[in-house]
Amino acid sequence: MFVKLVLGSLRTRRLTVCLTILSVFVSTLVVLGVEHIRQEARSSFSKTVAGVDLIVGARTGQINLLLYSVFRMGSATSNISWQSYQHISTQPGIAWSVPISLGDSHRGYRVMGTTSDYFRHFRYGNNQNLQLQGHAFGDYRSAADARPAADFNAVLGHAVAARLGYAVGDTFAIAHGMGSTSFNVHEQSPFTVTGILAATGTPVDQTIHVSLESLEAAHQSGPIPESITAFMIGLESRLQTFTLQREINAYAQEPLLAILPGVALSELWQMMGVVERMLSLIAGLIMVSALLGIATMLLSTLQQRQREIAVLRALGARPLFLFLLIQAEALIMTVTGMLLAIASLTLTLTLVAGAISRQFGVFISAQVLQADAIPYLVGMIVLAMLLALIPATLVYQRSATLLLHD
Amino acid sequence: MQNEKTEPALLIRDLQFSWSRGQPDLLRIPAWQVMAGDRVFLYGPSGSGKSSLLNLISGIASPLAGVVCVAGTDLTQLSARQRDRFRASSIGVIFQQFNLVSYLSVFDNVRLGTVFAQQQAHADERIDDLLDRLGLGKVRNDKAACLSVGQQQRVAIARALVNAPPLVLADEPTSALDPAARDAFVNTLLTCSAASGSTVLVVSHDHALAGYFDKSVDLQHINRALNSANTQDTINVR
Repeated sequence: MFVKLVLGSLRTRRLTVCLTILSVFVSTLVVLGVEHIRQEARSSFSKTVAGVDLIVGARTGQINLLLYSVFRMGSATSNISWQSYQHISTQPGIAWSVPISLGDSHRGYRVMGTTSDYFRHFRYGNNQNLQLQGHAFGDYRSAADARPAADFNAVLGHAVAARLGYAVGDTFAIAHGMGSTSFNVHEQSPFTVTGILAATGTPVDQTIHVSLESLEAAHQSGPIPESITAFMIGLESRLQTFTLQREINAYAQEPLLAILPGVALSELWQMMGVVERMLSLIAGLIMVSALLGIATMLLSTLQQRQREIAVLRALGARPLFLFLLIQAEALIMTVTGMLLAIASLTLTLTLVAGAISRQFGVFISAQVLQADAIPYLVGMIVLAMLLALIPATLVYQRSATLLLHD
Repeated sequence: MQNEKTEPALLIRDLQFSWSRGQPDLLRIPAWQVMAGDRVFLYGPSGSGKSSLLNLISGIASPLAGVVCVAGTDLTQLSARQRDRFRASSIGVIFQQFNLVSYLSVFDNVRLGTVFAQQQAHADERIDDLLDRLGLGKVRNDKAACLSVGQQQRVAIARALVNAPPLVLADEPTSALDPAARDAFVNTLLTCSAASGSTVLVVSHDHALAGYFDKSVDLQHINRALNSANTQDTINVR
């Protein structure tokens, strides 16, 4: 009978109830959506680079260096000379080094000149290697006695191949600078796709990899470049990291900057933290306003329900029964709105996850109900119950003393 | 019916009542009783303390002093919770209008009466029986809001009597009805409560009803409180 009363009461006020549920729905959607995107961004962020001990570039801010060397965002203010790279990479304690050279593009995707070592040493996620289908380009490092030679082979990131529809054997031309409509296209030296990397969910997916020599040849120079954009270093022992970082930062021949990717990543994340907290705050406020809406709605219908309450009291209903009736209505509206939001968010993410990973190279899980989201949901229910105390207590007090007052 | 005229269905002694301490008394009733099986009309014009008395008899309000006994149970000795339980099983209440929960069916409205009384054994048969007797069998599953006022008042009779309570209280039950419907209503109420052995106490400001009843009492005669009219008015302003 309690259930019948609650459901019947909600049904008679279905328009107001639907609108109230809608407002809970929207606010839950915002809260969960923001929280989810935050978590996903954080995890995909921290998975971008692994196994690299130092990244070295021309002197600039450490976040700027991280952005252009790892995230392929923005551009380097200046390059570093090949001599400096050669000098530093032969220092004792350095296990491997990979130079990278940026500046060209193909249809909006960045072309990165590097060495074949990149595919061996670069790691992402939980220390995972890049998975190459086909074969890499040849260069002066690909074999012990190899000579610098441009083979115009290219290895495509997963998203590049998928979006442009390129397969092994296809050819394309690269252009100077960024943008898909560059006037300065290196038409005379087309590249051939020889390998495609498996999807990583990192900026690697958005990159076209070629050898340094091929890149030089496309610019009609070389075969060995005079300068590169940056280089990555792996050390034999991590204990040397800070010593080497200091030495590089104090390098006399050229102003250089060495950064620890992990430290730079967390600094970058802290910068985004302000935005992140702002979003959380806004989401929280939206949530509170939706829940206030429930309390207001219940409060404003009390006047109409005066009769109904008198009838129930006359029949022997205890004030507590009426109190619980109001609380149950609030609970049902809150939980319904929340469940709808969880369902539609999961559904939406499932549907668009493929498109997002193709478009942005970011994998977003459709698993909305993660451990971090639970406190929000529980908090929302608790808050709804607390706010519903206002109308419920009012009903309790009124019904405890008065059956009728006319 | 066996106990007819042997014990009072309602007994009030030395009753004093006001809505809050310090205010002059609204009700002061030295002694009044309604014998079991009686059908009593209590004349109470507005402002006579009628609502307060109904709240006291039904156990929602408590007197400052005195005794309110319904069917041998002293309500002033019970906790609020016990009074609610007692009201559910032993007092049937009929209001002027809006007696029903509009979004429940006729059947469920009557069943509500059995839920709080926790007398749900064979409740369904009892309810259907009552509804048939009151000519409401056909609208059994209709929503209460779809019924005419006359039908709604008959459902209210069914609900007041579903637990065969010793006492039925009706507060201005006919003021929303036209004279013909009023006639039918009072006759039905009296017949059905006689069948279930319930004592009937109808409170109204309408003298025309007095003719239907065995006894007719004026609340102003039994209430000795002074100025009750003025103070009653002040509490009605909400």
